[in-house]
This record gives sequence, structure tokens and C-alpha cells, in this order.
Amino acid sequence: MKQPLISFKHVVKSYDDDVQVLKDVSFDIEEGKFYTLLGPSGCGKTTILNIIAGLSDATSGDVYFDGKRINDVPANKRQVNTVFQDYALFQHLNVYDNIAFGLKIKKVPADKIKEKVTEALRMVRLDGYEDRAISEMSGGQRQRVAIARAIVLDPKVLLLDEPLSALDQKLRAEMQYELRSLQKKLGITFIFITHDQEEALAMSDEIFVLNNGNIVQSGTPVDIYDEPINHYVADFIGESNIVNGIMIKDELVEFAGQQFPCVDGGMKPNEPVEVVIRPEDLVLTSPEKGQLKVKVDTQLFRGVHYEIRCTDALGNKWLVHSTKRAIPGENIGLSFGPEDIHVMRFNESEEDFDARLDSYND
Amino acid sequence: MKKINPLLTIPYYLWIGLFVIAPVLLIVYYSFIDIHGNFTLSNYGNYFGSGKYLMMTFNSFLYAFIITFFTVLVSYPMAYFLTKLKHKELWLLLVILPTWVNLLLKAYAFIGIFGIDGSVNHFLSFFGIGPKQILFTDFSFIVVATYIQIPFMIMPIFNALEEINPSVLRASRDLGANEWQTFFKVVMPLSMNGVKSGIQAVFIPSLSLFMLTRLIGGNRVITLGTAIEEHFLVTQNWGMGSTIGVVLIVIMFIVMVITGEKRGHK
Repeated sequence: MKQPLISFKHVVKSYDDDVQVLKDVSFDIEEGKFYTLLGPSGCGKTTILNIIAGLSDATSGDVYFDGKRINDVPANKRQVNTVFQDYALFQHLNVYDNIAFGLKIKKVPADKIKEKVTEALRMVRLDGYEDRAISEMSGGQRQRVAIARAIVLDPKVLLLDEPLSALDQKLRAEMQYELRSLQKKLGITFIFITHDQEEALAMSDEIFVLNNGNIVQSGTPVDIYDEPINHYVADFIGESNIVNGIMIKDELVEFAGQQFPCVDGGMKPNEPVEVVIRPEDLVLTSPEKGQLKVKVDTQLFRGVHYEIRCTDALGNKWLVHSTKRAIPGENIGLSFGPEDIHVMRFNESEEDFDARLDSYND
Repeated sequence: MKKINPLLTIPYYLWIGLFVIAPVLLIVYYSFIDIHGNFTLSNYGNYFGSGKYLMMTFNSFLYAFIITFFTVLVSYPMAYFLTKLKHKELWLLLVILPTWVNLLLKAYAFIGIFGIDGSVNHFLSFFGIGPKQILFTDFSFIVVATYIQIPFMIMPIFNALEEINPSVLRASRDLGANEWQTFFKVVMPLSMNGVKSGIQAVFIPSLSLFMLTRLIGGNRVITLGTAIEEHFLVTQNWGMGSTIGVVLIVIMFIVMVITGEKRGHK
């Protein structure tokens, strides 16, 4: 395995001795990938970003960049640049001078600066905006200026602190594509922060899900969506039905008063577990054909699908996404396959989880 | 916009009319009247014709410039330092506090401090540097004038510094600037509006300081303000006094235009 670009080893960050923002965080970041730190506000994701940028210190633990410990390297000496949440553009400078700021500090010759700034502006599709004042730019354009200002310095890592949160829905979706293609074009590592799980799933090579100063799970978007490690991740990423169950034995789980074949294993016999079924994996059918018999409570039309809420005989709530409509008050059946069931153990660490998955997957 | 009850605007117009427009018109009117009450242009001829008044104008400018210069020199670092303090609002209040004391009282206090028997000379004689003439010198005039103007300079600079978004400073660090570069390339330019407002608040009043010139400067420093006072109270030549007043108003406008040019342009 090649050497990671950034490596956190048991990093702890606490304020005033008692508030721990990061609790023993370790992870590796490889070169040239798109990473997302995903979590609700206050989970510590911005703190991680600030520690990488050098704008904040780790209370304990080591941070490595390219194999060298960088805990004591100041922010202005790091090969990392940041796109800030509020863009933090210099209001007293025009677009050109904003982007040229870092190059001028580095004492790059003027003609080289001009070349690089023009190139950066082309990258973010703002050619010809050099002389504009920042106050004349729209939110989306400011965003692009902030990105250009950061990438013009050829950083090895670009940090993005919730850069899309201030944009409207449509611009946001557009910027997701653009950021992704920009990252591919530049070939550098992006570390993107967001609390929006859809954004994370759409753009990332790798997602770190954070909660309360810990990395709860890391993996590709598909891994995290299909195999959430616990209740928190399953609930945070996408919508899900989570019910309590009992793992009778490998590949057989009991929930909602019935036993179902599944594809999970590696637990103790008769171990209490939680079962996740995604709403889009539940298929509406007649009560006779369904594995679960439920009563339809409410139905909402969401455009791409109907959102149907049902209750089974034991009182478990089931959320179904279906392109077919149901009639509230009617009894219907829900069908699903063994691979649609995902079983989660209580309090399983990520290491154990990965080991268990490996043990029965091959 | 909501329509304002016209009755409520009466005090405003009354105020403007009685205390701004009328006095200015009166000054302009008097500036064309000679000492015997006849219409004349000789006041202006006198002003621009004789070197005396032009010298006085130059002196006023020079002193106002020196006072403003030292006020900025002291206030900017002080305001910057204040923004870094934990209880900055309290400290700012302490800086503002002296402005609540009457100017005359402060002037008298400085007479006590700078006098031959004052505390500064006591302190100097302690080191064997015998009593010096400090009061009634240019030095004491500039020190006291600067002291009095400092709060008016600190306030706008402090506010401008406070308005700087901290993430802009972090961005500067992130882009490779060290603390000095961040200060000179980001903090200074972004706080320039505060400095300009401060200069307006200090330079213009400094042009017409007159009481301090007498109490602290010992009438050795003659500014336009002193000249106006002399003409109105001593020589009774109201016309000449008004002419200087008109010139002063014009100068103030010019200074305001120069220091205010970029304020509308965000």
C-alpha cells in the first residue's frame, strides 16, 4: 500500500480541558481522492479540517503530511488550501487580486501570476471576470472565486468547508458535478465537509461519517449506504426502516414475528440485533404474496415516488418508497429479498464490523 | 418606505434651518460687510492678499496635520490592541470616558501637569533635569490636542477592525501569508475606512482649535480658530472673522470630499 498523504494518529482536540470535540480520531487520506467528512453540526468535522489546515492545533496525537509530522508547522507553510464556508474573500481586492493574493505572497513573478490566475479563472469558468469587485459577484460566482483562489497555489489537498450550503438547490446540484470534475481534472485530494448526506453520496470516493467527535464509519458511498454499521449511520444516511430482531443463526434473522433468510452472518446464535431495510427495497404487493402484512396509514406524493407509511401487526412502522400508489386504510403486503435485509449488531466497532464482513463475504 | 407624519419632521427642519442654514448664511453675509457696515469685497482681498492670513491658514493646516498624524499613530495600534482584549467593550469605554469631561477642565488639568511646578517637572528634577518650560510650547499644545482627539480616532478604527470577518484572516494565513503580511495586506486595507472617518473627526476640528492654543499653547500658536475669536471678541471686525469662517467651511468641505470619496463605493 502506498504511503497515505495525510494521516491522523489518535488525534484528540479539547477546549478548556473538559469539552472534547475530537475523541481519539485516526484515519488515512490517500492522494488524488475525493473524501467527505459527513456529520451533523458539532460532530467535529470542521475541527478536523482546521487541524489539517493548521488553523487549529491538536490537543494530543500526531498529524502526518507526506510522512512528516506537521503538528507544529504553521498554516502558511502547509501545502493545503481551504475554501471557506463564507468564502472569506477579500472585499478590498478585485477578483484578480483575490486569486493572485497567495502567489504574490510567494513572490511569484508578475507574468507567471497572470498566467496562473487566468488559468484558474478558466478552470472555474469565470474567464473575463478579472476586474470585477467582489461585491459585484453573485453567491455562486464568489464561490468560484474562492475555489480559484485556493487551487491557483497548486495545493496537494484542497479543503472545502461546507462550500455549497449557501447556494440554492439548483446551483448546488450543478456545483456538485463541477467540483467532482474539477477534482478529477486537477488530480489532487479534496476533503469536503458537509452535513448533507445526498451531497456526500453523490460526490465522494470515500466518506467518513462522524458523530460526537468520533469517526463512526468510513467507506465508499455504496458501502456506507448498503452496509451501515449501526443505527446512527443507517438513520443519518438516507431513509431507513430500523426494527429490532434476533439473529437465529447465520443467514437467518427473526423480526416482526417472522423468520427471514438473509445474507449476513458472523454473530452469536440468538443475538439481539437491529435490522435495516431501505424504503425503496420494499415492494408493494397483495397481502397473500407479501412477506409482511401491513396496514397503510398515510401516503404522500413526492414526485419521483410515493412515500407510504404502514404499520404491521406488531406495531412496527414501515416506510415504503414506491412508484405504485396505495390506498390509506387498506391492508397490503410488502415483499423483499434476502439481500435487501441488512443486520446490525449493537455497539460493534468499525474494525470488528469490517472483519466480520470480510469473513463471510468471500 | 413608510410615510412619515409631516408633523414629526418639523423639529428637524427647524433645527437645520435655525442652527445650520441660518448661521452659515449669516457668516457668508457678514463676510461681505466691512467694519463700518458697508458692502465690500475687501475682506476676501485682505485674506488672500496679505501673507498674514495665508500664513495662518498654512499654520492651521500644519498643526492640524501634525495633531492628526500623531493621533493616528497612537490610535491605530491602540484600537488594534483593544480588539484583541477579552473585555474589549469595557476597555473601549475607559478610552471614551475622558470625552465626557469638559474640554476646559482637561485643559486646566494639563496646565497643572505641565506647569513649572507641575508633576512633569517634579519628575524631571528627580533626575536632575531642572524645571523646563513645557507649558506654552508647541510641544505641549500638540500633546494635549492629540490626547483630546484620540478617542475620536480610536472609535471608528476600533469599529472598522471589529467588522473584519475573522475568517478572512484565516484565509490569508491559509494562502501563505504570515502574521505581518496578513496585517499589512488584509487588516490595514480593510480598516482604512475607519481611519478615514477618524481623520474626518479629528482633522477638521483641529483646524479651528482655539481654546487650547491659548491655555496650553500660550497664544504662540495662531490658528484660524484663534483668529476668528480675536476678530469677533477683540478687534470687533466681524466681517473679517466671518471671512475666515467661510474659508474654514470651504476647507472642511474639501477635506470631507477627499477623505470620504470611497465610502459610498463598497
